[in-house]
Amino acid sequence: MKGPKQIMLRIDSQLEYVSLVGVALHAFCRDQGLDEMTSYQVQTAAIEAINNAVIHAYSNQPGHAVSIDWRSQDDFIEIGIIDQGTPMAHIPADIEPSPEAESGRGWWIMRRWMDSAEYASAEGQNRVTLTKRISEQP
Amino acid sequence: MEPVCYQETAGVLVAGIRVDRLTADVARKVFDAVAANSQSARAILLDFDQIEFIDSTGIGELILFSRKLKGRKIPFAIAGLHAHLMDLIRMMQLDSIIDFTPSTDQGIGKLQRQIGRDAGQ
Repeated sequence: MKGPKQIMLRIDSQLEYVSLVGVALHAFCRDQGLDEMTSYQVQTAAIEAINNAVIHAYSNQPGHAVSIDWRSQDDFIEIGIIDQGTPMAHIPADIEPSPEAESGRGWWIMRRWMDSAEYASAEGQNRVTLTKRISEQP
Repeated sequence: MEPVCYQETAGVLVAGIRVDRLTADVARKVFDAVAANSQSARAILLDFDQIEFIDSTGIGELILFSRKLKGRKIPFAIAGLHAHLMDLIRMMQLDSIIDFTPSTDQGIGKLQRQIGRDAGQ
């Protein structure tokens, strides 16, 4: 593994920017030595959280900031997704969605593919924190 | 560039998705385009070979599209999905409600047989 790093990104609340952040996060993972599959999983989980900020916290309205705070240490990475929009009323229950369901998969993906996915809202700021432990990559 | 290109092979409409991601910003446009261009199709094969990334919104749009085709009794399958995306599909158990085939040739063959069976009923 490489040494500790911290990178901050900020996008406007538009879905077209989310994929670009995803590509950057994937590259950060690879740079830290994560394998392709783990990097893809981290990318996917983070995109789900960023989509939620744009679609739900900001009701798909542009002109608001979504910040992505990437931090890596020797044995874990942590990604914070921060918005100042409408907070979530509650975190979705950890229930496997029906294959037929059209929505409700975002938090389920985050929980399955990250070691933890937490949500906090305080003083007008909402934050999803995703963490992934890093094992030695072959 | 159009997000989808079309080719008909022995009754099967092959819709090649020409975007690299099915995400919240583009997924609905893609499936709306396929729906608008497949009104007379007897069977539809979506070629996902160029897709590198799918998010949960893209999955939701795919399920909606699949449901509409089932309502019209149009046989439907997806070909060429990359291995890492197939992991996501299996985790969601989408392979229990949608047919996935490794290649377009296999998908076309499978759908042609289904058209034949449906015609014989």
